[in-house]
Amino acid sequence: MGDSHPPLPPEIDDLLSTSRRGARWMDPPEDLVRRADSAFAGGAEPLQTPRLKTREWTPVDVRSLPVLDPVALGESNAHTISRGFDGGEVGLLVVPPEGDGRWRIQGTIWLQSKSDRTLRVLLVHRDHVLHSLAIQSDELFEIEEFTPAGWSVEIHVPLLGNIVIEDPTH
Amino acid sequence: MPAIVVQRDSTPGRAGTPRSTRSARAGRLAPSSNREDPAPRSSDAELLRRCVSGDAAAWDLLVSRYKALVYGVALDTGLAPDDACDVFQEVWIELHRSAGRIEKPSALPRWLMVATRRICYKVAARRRRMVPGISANWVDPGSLPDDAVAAAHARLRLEAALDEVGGKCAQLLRNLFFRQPELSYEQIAEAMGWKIGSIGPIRSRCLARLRAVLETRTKGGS
Repeated sequence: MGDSHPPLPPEIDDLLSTSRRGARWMDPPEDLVRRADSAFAGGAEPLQTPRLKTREWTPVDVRSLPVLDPVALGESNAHTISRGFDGGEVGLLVVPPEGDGRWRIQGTIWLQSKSDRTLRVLLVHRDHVLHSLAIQSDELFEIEEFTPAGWSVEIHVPLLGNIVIEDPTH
Repeated sequence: MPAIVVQRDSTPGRAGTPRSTRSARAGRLAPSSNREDPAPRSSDAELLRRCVSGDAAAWDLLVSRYKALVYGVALDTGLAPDDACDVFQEVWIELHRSAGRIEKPSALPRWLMVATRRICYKVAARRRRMVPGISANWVDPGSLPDDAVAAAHARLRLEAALDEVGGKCAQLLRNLFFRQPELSYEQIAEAMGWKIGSIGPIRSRCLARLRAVLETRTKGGS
């Protein structure tokens, strides 16, 4: 308060002082708020993505790795991950960041039973879902995202379950 | 008479108030939010639960409650307004994707600030824009200062209490507390449509009401 205003009760003054140590609260333009509303109205993203236990991996016969970016495969710090599960296989190529926090994750999922089922791939750090993609079996996907180490990739396969692959560097 | 400015600092619209009544009128102070119904303020946990079950009204309430925090954090970083708009939008998309798995709904302000800072860095890095206030460690949730979280909770506590006070009292106190730049009594009198001599006594009564509400809420644990 300025000099012209009488003092505030101490508890209110404390709350105000504390609140002013943080970011200023600024009303965004109304059209921007409407876009925030549309994030919900769109309804395309999964609100509930319950974590299921990772499936037992079967012996690896990964069909996906050959299609991964050979240049990235040649990168000295890249990690390849191949897993089999009951009903398909997963191949990932992970290129860690070089100081800027940007991870690059490529991969494909191959399902034994061909169908037009849409798979969903999520990049998750703790309770933040940083990225979400819808793909088909055999389709190459790529995620570039800024995240701390310790992320996981979740692959939601309809009717089969949810596969979790942890950050190989963590 | 000093010029009346449209506010920049925000008073989040009260939950449930139609947006058309909350918007700033050109050349006048934006109307402060008024409590128009006695419904208790829903907790963040309750709103998140309702969002997950597909309740669009609950989503609106969350956006209304936190839009000014998210936008304020984005702008405070020094990002250009257009970039801050992109950040704002991405934060809500991330919340939408994550709503079903937020571990501590009561810590939603922190969750939102963590997401906002990370996305600020992402937007700046992708556009190769050096913003002095933003660093690469913003992708790490641990980089968020405790003071920033405490500040957000203090503001929310005040906002919730002001919602409960409601009416002209809340409007007056929001004008006194949250306007940037700070307003004189003369400006507040014009904004409220009151005589300047009445501001002081009404202010005292309203502060007493706010104090009582805060005390009750503290005793009630909210």
